[in-house]
Amino acid sequence: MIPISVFIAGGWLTLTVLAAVFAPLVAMDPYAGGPDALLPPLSPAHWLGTDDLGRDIFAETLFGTRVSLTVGVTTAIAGAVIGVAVGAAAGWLGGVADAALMRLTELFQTLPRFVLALVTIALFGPGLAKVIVVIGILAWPQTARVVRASVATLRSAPFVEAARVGGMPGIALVLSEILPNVAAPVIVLAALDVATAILLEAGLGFFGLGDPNLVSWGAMLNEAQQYLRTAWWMAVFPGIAIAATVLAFNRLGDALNAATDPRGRGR
Amino acid sequence: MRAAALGWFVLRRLLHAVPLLFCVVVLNYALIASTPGDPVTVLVGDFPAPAEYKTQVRHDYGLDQPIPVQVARYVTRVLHGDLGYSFANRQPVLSLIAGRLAATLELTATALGFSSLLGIALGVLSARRPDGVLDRAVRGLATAGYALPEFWVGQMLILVFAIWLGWLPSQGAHAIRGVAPGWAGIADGVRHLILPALALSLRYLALIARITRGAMLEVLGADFILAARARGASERAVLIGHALRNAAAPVITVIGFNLGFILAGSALIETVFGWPGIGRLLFDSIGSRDYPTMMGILLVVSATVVAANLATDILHRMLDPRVG
Repeated sequence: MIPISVFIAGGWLTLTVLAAVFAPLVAMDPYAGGPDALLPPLSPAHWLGTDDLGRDIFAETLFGTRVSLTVGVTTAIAGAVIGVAVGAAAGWLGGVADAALMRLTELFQTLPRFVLALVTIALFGPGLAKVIVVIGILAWPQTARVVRASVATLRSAPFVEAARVGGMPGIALVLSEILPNVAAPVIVLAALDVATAILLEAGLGFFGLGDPNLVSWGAMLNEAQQYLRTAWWMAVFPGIAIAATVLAFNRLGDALNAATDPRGRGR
Repeated sequence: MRAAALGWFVLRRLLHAVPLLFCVVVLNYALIASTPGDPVTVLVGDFPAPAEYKTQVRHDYGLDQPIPVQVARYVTRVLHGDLGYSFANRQPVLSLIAGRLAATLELTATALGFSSLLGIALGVLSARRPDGVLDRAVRGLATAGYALPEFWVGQMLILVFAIWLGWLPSQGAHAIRGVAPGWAGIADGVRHLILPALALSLRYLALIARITRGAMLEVLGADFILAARARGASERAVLIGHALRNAAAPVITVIGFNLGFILAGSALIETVFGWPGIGRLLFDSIGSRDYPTMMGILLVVSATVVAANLATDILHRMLDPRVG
């Protein structure tokens, strides 16, 4: 039986995807300021209020889904691809290659992700593509470890041996015989990585290092900081959006984990 | 025999940590060298520094030499504790960071201590009755703790407790008029510490409670627990003396391995609360393009993480000799 919270999480994520796609049809221009600055919520024309430049908070929050989902999903995919490649290579090759790749994984796992991302983007200049590259490059170590462990065990499994004896070359063996067996944990980790990436991106935005030309939830919270005393709504709504989206991805990841792991253990 | 084995373990972990640290420093330089534009800008910061000064820096770091020489010079300097000079603050980066260390330690140590104590307590109590009221509450807290951006939690705490209720201050580590002498000053410091420490704690509280609960549940099913109960040991003795002692290793590991995250979280929290620590310094240095300070903070944080992981490994080994 699927718990109700999974349906709620799925429902919320569907809503955010719809919001990201159809934002221009539903909301007004999030970049257009107006004369009505700092209007409280439930104002006739702006039902979540306006910010210090008279921009509509509802529109900004809706458009903010675009940056969060783009960064979250692309970096999780990048992390999964790199992680599977590194993990499979290490687990399959073994020996020196394994040791070297695992040292590299350990190095990346040790690096303080958030501070490193901050400094890198401060050095190279802000921009959506750079945010994606930096978070993506830092997102793979855990996947690599999990994949390596599975590949190393499966390498000598009877069905793999059978395929090997049948004359299947190494790469095909890994791709068609071994990797399908590690798909489940990789997908679970990817779902959880989306959540982590959204939080990281929000932190970067809060530090003023998001894309200056795009509305993002983190950047909204950065602006809200100066207006906490006068305009609470500037901080409340984007924060709820981040929390709900991260919660939904975490819930989905946990549910997938529970569904695919027969022992029913968390990670 | 056991001491010797432990000695070997420590030596092995050290041989592991030192190259890791070396890689971190080299990576730092790779970051500097691959920045678009003149690397001297990164080493000086984006300021109208005098030309002679830039020439001096260029020479000191061997920027006119081949890359391996540059790396060697950078690594040597860092290992000698020279993290460069912050032109913006007219101070060596290392002393700049050292000056902010106390504030960051105060905040992170409070948060870590609070979340460890409460997290372990909540984990133990919720493992006692799985699916009880407390257990459900703790699981809810854990879910929320993972999902809420800590800096936003900070903003919400300011909104509620500083602005609406007016109970606690929202900015800085002490009152603007200065540190009062004696108890008044301490009380003032504590009042300023509560909200940022709480905001920083939530995530670790969630994590530690969850891990403790899981480890306790695993241990509580073991035969020796049944044996202790059969001998008539009190519930308290079973939970704390037998179960928690054996569940301690994973809990301590998680606390240690998350030290890096608490430092990163501290950067955000210090920014929200105007806390005069390293995180706030990082925020300011990004704003003023003071690159040497940024790079210095990255190095110090990375080195702290490596050291914390090493210490955690050793502690874990001491608690659980089966670890190889």
